[in-house]
Amino acid sequence: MDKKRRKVKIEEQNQINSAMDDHETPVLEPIWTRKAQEREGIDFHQTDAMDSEVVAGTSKKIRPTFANPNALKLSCELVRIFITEAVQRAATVAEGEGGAKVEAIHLERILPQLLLDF
Amino acid sequence: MEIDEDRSDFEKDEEEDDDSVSDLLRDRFRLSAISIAEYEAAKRNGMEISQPIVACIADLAFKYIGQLAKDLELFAHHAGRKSVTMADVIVSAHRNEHLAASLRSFRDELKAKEPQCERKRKKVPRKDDKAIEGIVHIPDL
Repeated sequence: MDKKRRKVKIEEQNQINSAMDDHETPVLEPIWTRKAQEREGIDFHQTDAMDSEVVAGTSKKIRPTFANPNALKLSCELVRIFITEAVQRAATVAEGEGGAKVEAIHLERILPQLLLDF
Repeated sequence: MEIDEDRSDFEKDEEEDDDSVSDLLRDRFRLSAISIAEYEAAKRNGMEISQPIVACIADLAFKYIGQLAKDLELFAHHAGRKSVTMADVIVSAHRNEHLAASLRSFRDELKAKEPQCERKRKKVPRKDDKAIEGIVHIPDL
């Protein structure tokens, strides 16, 4: 049930992220907005999935949640910042040690604070 | 007994579908995450990241998105809405003040880019709300 919820949110995010890859001002935004809006029809289910089961599975998609396109862009930015922070913090640690490559041990050090911040 | 079996079969099928869909999404997401990570690493004087680390970060971000999706749905439901709005996203970033601030500025940029033929009676430039935003959380949409 949880997976259903995540399902479409992530579909949308993916569209967004492929646009975000350019990293310049998201020029591809209009494209994914349209795609995301198509997918929004399939959006995630409510926690009342238990109820829908009781009703003999007739109202499976009892109350699908939708997402605003702007909210989508914003959450995409959030995820992008997450990844950026992770990489930049790990790189800082790696530089401090004098290495030229970011390794697992660097990621380990920044992980707790990163998770607390997000 | 039969009914239970049927239902569990149906659920199993659904779960398998969900799994395959989520795996597909995870893979696609991983591609984007990898390219973002590579770009960011290169920005810092051409540092390299080892592949397993990037994969770790990508998986971490994927799980984070799952949590985020759940949170946003709860926020929207709590507000009695069916759709997730920008205010929900900003609230979900409440733990880190800098994060919330940068999201707000991103949101304002988005709003400024929108064509002037916007919504109902309100005035178009809502930049005045930026100051008030910190104090009174106005649900914009």
